[in-house]
Amino acid sequence: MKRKLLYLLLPALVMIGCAIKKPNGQPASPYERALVYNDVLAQTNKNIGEGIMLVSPSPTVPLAKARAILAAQKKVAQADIMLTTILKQGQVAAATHSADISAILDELRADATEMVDAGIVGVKNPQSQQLFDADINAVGSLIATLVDQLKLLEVIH
Amino acid sequence: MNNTAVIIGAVGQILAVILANGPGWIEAIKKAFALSPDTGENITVLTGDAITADEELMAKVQAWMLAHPDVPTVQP
Repeated sequence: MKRKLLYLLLPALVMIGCAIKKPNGQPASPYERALVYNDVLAQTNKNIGEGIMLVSPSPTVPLAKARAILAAQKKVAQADIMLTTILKQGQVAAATHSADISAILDELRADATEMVDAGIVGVKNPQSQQLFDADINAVGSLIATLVDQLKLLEVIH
Repeated sequence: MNNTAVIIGAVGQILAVILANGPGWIEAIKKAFALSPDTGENITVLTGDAITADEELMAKVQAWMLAHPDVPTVQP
């Protein structure tokens, strides 16, 4: 089911990526596109967290599960701040921190897996109006998309 | 309906949901559309926006954790 959802979400991400344009009609640069994916990752993670805090504690999202997923989300946010601080320096400077970026992306992937393992299934996120499953899978897809984009830019290898 | 039609329909639905209801997605995309052509400015806006979201979440999670401590079950 998760794999099927991922397959369905990825084309949507690609479509969004293709739609990103500047006011002058030019498409965003590949590096700007990577930054948009990173921004959406941060926003999505925040929406999940705010949604969890709204619906827990409850029978559907008990305290222990909420604490587990929020702890993983806090780690995602911490890692993303480190990543964003590097990306803020621009493409050329970011490429000199390739090893650091790869390590942070590995951390993000592990944290996203922790979010999935928290096992909040079939509950609607009042923030996004989607199931938490879909939002959490979106985080994983965004990390994968960001990795691909940074590889394309040769910021990481 | 064949498989291709089902997949295209599902992708369209997901995209519509994301665009219509996902405040994070839509805000980020709106910002990308509204950015000036100056790449330096775009980098500042996009990274600043991401860090703000991360910091806000961390502060909210911290406050929530304090308000909802993980109290171990007391055995009678």
